[in-house]
Amino acid sequence: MSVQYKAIHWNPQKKAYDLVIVILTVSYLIAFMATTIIIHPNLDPVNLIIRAFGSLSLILIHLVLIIGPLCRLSSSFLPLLYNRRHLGVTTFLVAAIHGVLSLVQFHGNGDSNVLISLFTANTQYDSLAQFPFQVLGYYALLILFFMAATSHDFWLKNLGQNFWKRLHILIYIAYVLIIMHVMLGVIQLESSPLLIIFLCIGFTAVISLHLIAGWKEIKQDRQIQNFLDDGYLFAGTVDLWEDGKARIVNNGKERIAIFRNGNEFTAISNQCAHQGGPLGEGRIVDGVITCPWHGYQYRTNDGCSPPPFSEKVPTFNLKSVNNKIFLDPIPNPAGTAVEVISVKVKGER
Amino acid sequence: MNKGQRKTHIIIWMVLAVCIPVGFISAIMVIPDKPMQEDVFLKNETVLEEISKEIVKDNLIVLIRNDKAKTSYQLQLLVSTPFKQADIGIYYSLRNKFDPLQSIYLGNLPPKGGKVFSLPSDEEFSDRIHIVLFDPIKNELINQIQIEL
Repeated sequence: MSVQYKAIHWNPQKKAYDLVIVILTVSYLIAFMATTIIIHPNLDPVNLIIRAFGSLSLILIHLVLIIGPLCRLSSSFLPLLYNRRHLGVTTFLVAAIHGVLSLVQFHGNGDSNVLISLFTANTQYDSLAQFPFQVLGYYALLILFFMAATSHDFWLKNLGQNFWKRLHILIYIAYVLIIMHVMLGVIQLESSPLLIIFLCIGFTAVISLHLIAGWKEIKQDRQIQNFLDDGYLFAGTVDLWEDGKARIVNNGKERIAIFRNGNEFTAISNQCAHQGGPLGEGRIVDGVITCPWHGYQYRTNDGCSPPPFSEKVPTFNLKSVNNKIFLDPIPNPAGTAVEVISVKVKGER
Repeated sequence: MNKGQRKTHIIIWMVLAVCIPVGFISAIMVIPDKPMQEDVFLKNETVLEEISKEIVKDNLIVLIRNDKAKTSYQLQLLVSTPFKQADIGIYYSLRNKFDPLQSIYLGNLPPKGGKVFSLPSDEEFSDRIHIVLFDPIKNELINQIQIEL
């Protein structure tokens, strides 16, 4: 989190993350090219590079897509999410190299513009077998470009979280286009079943993980706490809370994170103001609630980020009766200070 | 994410769970019977000793080679002026009108230099054959050479 925009706010975690990306991508490219040269010594070197970058971008898009649901299923994958946008930008760059080289190699020697050639060389849109698969790759690359270009927090802030999220759902369309680009392209020309098997495993994993994680989330959304006569929700007895952590309560419209900090209890919206991360799955670090996704922080009593930061989330009123915590399900405006409930927790001094 | 976004996501993935496998299976079903065989067109052939036919057409020198017993044949293509196409599929056809699905795919020819391809066995061999150069990327016929043996 930061108060001003910079191209990249480097920190040790981001540097380590990016270093791993660079090492793995370079290693893959070297391994792919070396293996291919041994198996197919006569393959044209440009075609070899095109294939290396194409296959790498295919692997990267799968990685990018499975990180989200994996994190929803297990918090141990959260370190992968922290700098996922750099993985996404890497995917675009690798795909762009594949695309540009393909355009030059397969359309660059004609007497027309390469883009005109791309769209006019093959116009058999009515034939699945002869479908102009390169066009599918072009549109997928265009979407990846928009994803990469708007991945910065500047765009997230200025476009608004909801619109930004909707825009980035386009990645799913790009994924379908990439799958069909491969299926109607190289799969039609190759006899080896390996690529088909890998692709099948890849999309099965992506779809299954998203459906399992999505179903788990929908189930949680349906678990609504009982309302009492005074409109409050029973959130639980105080001994259910771990110190520095939250329990998430559902009021039927949204999720609310009730945190315990020592003997004090406070409630804020579960949705981080940055990218909508689940605040209730985070922890209290140095006295402030810390989002598990990107480390955005909020004060426990008013849901405001500590100065000089300006993010804020809605707060909720709590009350305690006989070591039981009750929640007022109606949110206060974002950044509203609320009374901190102090309850003696058994076993605590 | 909020409740609405979570719902949108699962709906999208339920749709994709149907669309992607349908697209995948459809694409598998239209894979041609004679897909390009990487191991065939990249294999280095040993050149047979006798030349039974030699033709020069456009930027190509075409040689039909055979062994002494005339039991196996080869097609040797030598490129005098490099092609502009990156991918040139070489097909063997017995028909005048070229159809990739009705022809035998021999392999790929590099844009410059040359290459030797094994020709089909005796039973598929005929007195008149057609060697077709086809760009599979642009789906374009580059050249067709008729050879009388």
